[in-house]
Amino acid sequence: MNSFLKIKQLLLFLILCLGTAPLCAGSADWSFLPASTVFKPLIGESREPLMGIVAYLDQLGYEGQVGGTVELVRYSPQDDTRFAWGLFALGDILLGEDGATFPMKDADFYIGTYFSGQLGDFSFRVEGLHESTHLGDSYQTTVQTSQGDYLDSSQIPLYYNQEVTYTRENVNGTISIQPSEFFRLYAGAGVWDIPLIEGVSDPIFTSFGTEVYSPYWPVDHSAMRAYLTGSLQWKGDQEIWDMEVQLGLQWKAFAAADRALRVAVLYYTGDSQFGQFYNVPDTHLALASFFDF
Amino acid sequence: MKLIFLFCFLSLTGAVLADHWDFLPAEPLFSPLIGDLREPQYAVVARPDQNHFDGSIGQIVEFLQWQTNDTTKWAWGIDGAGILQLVATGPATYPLVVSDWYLGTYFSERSGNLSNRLEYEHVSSHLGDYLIYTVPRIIYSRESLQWTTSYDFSPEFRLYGGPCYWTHLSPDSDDPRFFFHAGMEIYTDYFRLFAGTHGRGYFTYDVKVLGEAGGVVDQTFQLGIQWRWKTDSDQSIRMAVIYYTGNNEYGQFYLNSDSYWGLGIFFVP
Repeated sequence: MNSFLKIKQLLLFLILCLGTAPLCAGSADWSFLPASTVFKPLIGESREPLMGIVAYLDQLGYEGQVGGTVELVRYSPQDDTRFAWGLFALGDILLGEDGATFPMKDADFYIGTYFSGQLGDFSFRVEGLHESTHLGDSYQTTVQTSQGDYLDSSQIPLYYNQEVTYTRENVNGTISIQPSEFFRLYAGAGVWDIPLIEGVSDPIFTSFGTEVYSPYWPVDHSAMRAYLTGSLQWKGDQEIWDMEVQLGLQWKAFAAADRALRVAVLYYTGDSQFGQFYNVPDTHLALASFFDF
Repeated sequence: MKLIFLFCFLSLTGAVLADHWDFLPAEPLFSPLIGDLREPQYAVVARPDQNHFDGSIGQIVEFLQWQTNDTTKWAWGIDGAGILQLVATGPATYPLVVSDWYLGTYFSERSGNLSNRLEYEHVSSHLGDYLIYTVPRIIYSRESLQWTTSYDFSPEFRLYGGPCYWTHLSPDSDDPRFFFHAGMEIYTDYFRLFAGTHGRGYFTYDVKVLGEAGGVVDQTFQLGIQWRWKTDSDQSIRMAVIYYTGNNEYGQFYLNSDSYWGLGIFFVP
């Protein structure tokens, strides 16, 4: 079947889902397009669909993220029990720096759908995710050489790699417990449809993380607090642990608001999270600004 | 550049301390121009006649709104967007043709039905890996100042327009740097849909007149349905038929003409 037809059918399916979901919504327990998500974003995970800018402090590199979540339908049978279905998308780019120009090294795109729920302090999210990754066009002069050993002087690489075809899907789930406003723990696991490296048969990945918050303090008519996050991810097909730590400030209009600005110092070590450089070790310290919308 | 983060953060701190502000409001003061496909938004547009897909991931982040008198409000924010084009080359294979990335900051103002927005915006365009071996890329990087005045004649009819100026062009050119952007939005009354949801029909026309490439008129038409849970909800989904004609809006191909029909779905979370 023509792939274009498949996509059109997917779009039609989505439209039908959107059309029929509210049909089930015969009572006040259902809501459509709520303003916030049932499963709170994992702010310590750099591939969460959020807006952000990350400036590397120890390398000439920048990351830009544009992403968001659209919660389509929510079912709330009780005060402390909610379920939801939605979509998310994220674009994540890696830029170098050469004076006033910022050559693109990599662009990764994520799109997916999720089902989530919350029961008191517990919440969960199950995602189906598609990821594709694309070598940045600043490598064009490089890839034109057969040896790949000369580079245009204006295109100093953050990493160097021949292009790899990287498009795959995973299903993953995360459970989270937040016993107080100061502390959250979560753990997750997932499986890729294909292993990243030929010959390595373990498509499983797992992750663990925590979020620790200080009490809020007032800033005029707004509220601010400090936070610390730590996350670990085991990539079975690469046999490596990735670790990320953030220490920063979160600023909201009021304590219960979902929208926030964050500024953080970020430390990452592991293999690069950009798909074109998946097998390149990457350790960096960065200053990051995130916009949780 | 790294100091910009600190500067912005300190500026925000000082601004909030200075007066009464509405911090991180739910809705931007200047309503997004839904007829402009380059406005930050979440969208997928399929081009049935070209086997191409356009994806848009973008968000407006309004930091502050403040009221200077009984009728006038001001706002400041940033926006960012990534707009990409994919081509279907085989079963489940969609290599990247091109991606454009936007980052901007704006001030806006509203007095009753009249609103204004002044935006400074950077855009860079990058050749995708589908063409990286076969098509020479150009270094496409631009900044512009864009002024837009909008007037809501009624909840069903809006007109907007204004001058814009390229402050930086790469590739550089002697083409006129001023360009103009205008458009309109027309809505029907809301009607009831399923399970208490509401919808309304809409039509938009958006036009950009640019001096580049010997003179370009980019026109976008949308005819569709906007769907909300309640009529006063901020969140919505739109589905529309789109017709575009003009030059290609992707920077890597800005000298090429482009006309297409599209089916689009747009999300406003």
